[in-house]
This record gives sequence, structure tokens and C-alpha cells, in this order.
Amino acid sequence: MGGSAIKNEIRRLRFENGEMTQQQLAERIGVTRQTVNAIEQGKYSPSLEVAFRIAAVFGVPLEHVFRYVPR
Amino acid sequence: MSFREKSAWASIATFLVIFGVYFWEMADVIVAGETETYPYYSLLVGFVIASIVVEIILQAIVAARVPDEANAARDEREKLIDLKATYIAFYVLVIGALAAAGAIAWDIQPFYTANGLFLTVVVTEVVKYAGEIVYFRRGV
Repeated sequence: MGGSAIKNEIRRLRFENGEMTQQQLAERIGVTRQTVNAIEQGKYSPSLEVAFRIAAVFGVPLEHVFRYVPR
Repeated sequence: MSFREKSAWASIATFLVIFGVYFWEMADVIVAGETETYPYYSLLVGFVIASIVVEIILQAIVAARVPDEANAARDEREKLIDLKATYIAFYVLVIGALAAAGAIAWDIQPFYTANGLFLTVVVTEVVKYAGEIVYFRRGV
């Protein structure tokens, strides 16, 4: 459910990469725009494969996109 | 709202309205004491056909508004939501099936057994779509 312990920097990374839209990112990683939105808001923790695809799109290591914050 | 969520809303509305009318009619049959003579099976078939027709029309309308999303395969989050909602609905189906088996064992009138089983199917579907909507909204 909401309030995942996995935080992410996707919104900032999108902004820093030419203000990429959620739709553009979604198309590049093969999910819907709503799923990108859910990931950004911490309502869905993506699979490892999708997480790696997101990192690859931004050209950064995985830990620069996602971090685990113990509750 | 995503296509999948709109689709779930369309399905839940179809089930609630059409089968709500059907079970309302069945309640009248019970109150009138006509459960042994009322030809509920023909009405049941008619309502099932009506629900299929309405469902096709509503889903076509929803899909026509976002054809790209409608034609796309479910992504991993949508598959997970589908699985979790189905998992919850499965319990409803099991409870209803066991109740129907009990009704047959105790020789309950076919009217109650058949309609009870059909109600189980309807409630199972409603719970599944309601579960999907909750997961879409609250996160999964």
C-alpha cells in the first residue's frame, strides 16, 4: 500500500533530464504512465527489472534512483 | 484515471445495476411465496445476456476514448493488482460454493440454491473489481 519504505528520485531525475514527462519515461521502460506516477508517489515498488530500466534511462546507478528508508 | 480503472468501474456498474434489478425481482418472488413456481431460469439467462451486451458496449466506449491504452498489454503493476483483487474475490467464491454444496446436501429448494450460487458469482465479480479500484487508488 502507500507509504513505501522505498523512496525515489525519479521526479528530480526527470526534471534534470530535459523535463522528461511521465509518459515519455513510461514508454521507454515499458509501463503505463499511471504506473510511473504510482512509483513516483511511493504507491508501487517496481520490480528489479523495471527499476534497472529506469536507472538506465537516466544513465545513473540504481542507488541514485531508489533508496531504502527503514520505517 | 487509467483505462484499467475506468474498465473496472464500468464492469462494477454493470454488475450492480443489472443484477441488482434481477435480485430485486427475486426478492419480490420470495415475498410473494412463488419460489417453487416462478421461472427464474429464463429471467436469469435474459439478465446474463443483457449484462454481456451492456458490458461490451461500456467497455467499447471506454476503450474508444483511450485506444492506445486499451490495446496495450497489462504492465507489471496492473497484473499485480489483478492478481491481488482476484485473490480476495476467490474467498467469496469458495464461501459461496461451500454454501451451495451445503444447500444441495440439505435438499434446499433449487430456487435458493441456484440463485445463491449465482449471487456468489456476482458478488465475487463485484469484490474483484472493487478490489482493483482500491488498489489503483491506494497503491499496491
